[in-house]
Amino acid sequence: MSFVAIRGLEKTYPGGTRAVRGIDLDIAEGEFVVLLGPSGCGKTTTLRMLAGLELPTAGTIELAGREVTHLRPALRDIGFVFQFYGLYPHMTVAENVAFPLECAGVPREERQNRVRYMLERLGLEPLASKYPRTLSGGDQQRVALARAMVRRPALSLMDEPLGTLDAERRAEMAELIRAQQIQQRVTTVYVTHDQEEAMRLADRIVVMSGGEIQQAASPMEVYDSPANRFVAHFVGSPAMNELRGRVEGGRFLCGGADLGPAPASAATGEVLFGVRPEHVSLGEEGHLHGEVLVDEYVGSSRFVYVQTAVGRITARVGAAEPWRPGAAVALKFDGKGVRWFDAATGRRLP
Amino acid sequence: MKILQGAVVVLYALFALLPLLWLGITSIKDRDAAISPHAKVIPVLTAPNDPTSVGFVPQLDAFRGLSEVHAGAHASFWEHVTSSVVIGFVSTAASVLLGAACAYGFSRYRIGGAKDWLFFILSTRFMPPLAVVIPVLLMYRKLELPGTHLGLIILYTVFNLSLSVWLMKGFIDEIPKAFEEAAFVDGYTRFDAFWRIIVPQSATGMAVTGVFCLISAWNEYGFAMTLNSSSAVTVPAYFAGLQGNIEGMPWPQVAAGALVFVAPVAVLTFLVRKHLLRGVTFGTIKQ
Repeated sequence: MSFVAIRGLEKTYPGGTRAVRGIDLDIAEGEFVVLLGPSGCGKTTTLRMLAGLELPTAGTIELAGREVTHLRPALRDIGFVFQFYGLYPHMTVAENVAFPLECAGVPREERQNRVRYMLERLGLEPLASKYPRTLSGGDQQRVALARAMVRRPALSLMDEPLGTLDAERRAEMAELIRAQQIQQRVTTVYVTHDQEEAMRLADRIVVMSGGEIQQAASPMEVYDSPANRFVAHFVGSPAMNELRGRVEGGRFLCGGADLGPAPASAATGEVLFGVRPEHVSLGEEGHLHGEVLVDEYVGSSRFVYVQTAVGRITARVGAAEPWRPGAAVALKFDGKGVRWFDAATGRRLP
Repeated sequence: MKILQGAVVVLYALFALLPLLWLGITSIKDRDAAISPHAKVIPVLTAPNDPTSVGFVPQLDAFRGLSEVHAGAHASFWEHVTSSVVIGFVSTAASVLLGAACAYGFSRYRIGGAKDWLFFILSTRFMPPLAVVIPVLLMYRKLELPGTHLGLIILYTVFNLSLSVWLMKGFIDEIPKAFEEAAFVDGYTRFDAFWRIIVPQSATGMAVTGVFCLISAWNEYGFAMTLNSSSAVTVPAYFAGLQGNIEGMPWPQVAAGALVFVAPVAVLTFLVRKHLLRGVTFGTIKQ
């Protein structure tokens, strides 16, 4: 039995915007689930409905075997980390962290102990008597995290908690969040639009778009076997290469070139051929010929953008050898890395 | 340009402060010097022989005289100050709290016709309050409210409510909803969140609103005079009531009393001066 069960969840705002269009999702106890998608995909609305800050127009939410769909947030036993810190400016760091415990009626002494313990764990003790506005963004978000976790809630919800931090702080905080979550085994739902962050943190990624779930699977599965074109493009940077072509006689033909055997599931007609940059290699001979546009060195490897007659292809190749822009080059695709999509529906073909 | 600006400000300040200066001078005169047809403006140590001299001997008798009951009044100045304090501060507290609660509703809930309601609330200010003094008097007589503290408290609270709702709405609108939402998920009810988050967060706004309400209640004269002429008389009505009594107006005491009476409001206004015009930005949220 799942710890969180979302059934047919919908949200239509009074203005008529359909933010969430029927979501079904099960979350296991202790799982770290990341809702990933572009802005306006309904991920934050879904999170806020889980928290009880928005009420769904249809559908139900069960939390720990209890229906909470219309229950007010206070009664749900959740912790919430807001995108914009949401710390109380008129309280010190320690008071902020103690606030949820105070409400829960935790006795004074235990409250102080738990606050101190939490502040210590997150390296915040020197800041205990400071006011939030005097802290850096990273420290503020640490305090928010401490406040959300101090009560050991049944469910921890995070709405782009790293969104306002700089790159260095982001990585550090992401690590901290993951370490805390693993240690406390608190079921966590985390919202982000950053696919790298999602990959790094999640047990399971739920990719959303247009108020619907596109795919809910482990980071590896989402990356290797995207359920559709949207997921293929949204996850992975640079995005998956895509070529439009035809299947004829069991072969995939694209712009006059024969790129190899088509999958058995592809009927004769138009299909899309997808391949991630790491499954493209450059050489003197290959499936397609083109001209190097840009050679992007990123340290551990390089991304080479090649213009071919059928479109632009990105290849991820070894860092050692530079590629001169303008040079003629041939592209080879690794058959194991190729994914096929239905040209009309965008769904991946098995 | 800077000099010109400065000169204009100084000139205006002199012009505006002149009545206060005159109050100050009068409060340290004796009655003869205060009502002399020859203006006495320079404090001197020994009494001048020439009655047309501008000099007078300063003294503090008028301030001591504030505890006397003058002809034409039933009580001393201090008792009237007590009435003013009770009526002014209670009505101000009521206006600000009711205004804040009402503004919170308008700020946080979707209310059908909210704009019309807010306009209606503001519209109660369009009419000069004194236009309804007779109906109010008749109504109050039925309820036996004239001559009570409660009567004026209710009246001032209601008159100031429109201002309070509008000002407080501005202040509460600026408090990000995330603060309350954080409190909700932390386990607090909306009522708790209002008291523990909104009230402390809008404290500056409440102080500003309170000063505005207090000034209006403190200085109100028309209703105070009409409704409370015999008991629970506020200071403005008390001073006016001294007119035409058999001993004549005790001007130095009136001046001394007026100075004392202005002081608390002046101090409070000074304390919130920075926030009177500027919208206050609270907290740490980047909008």
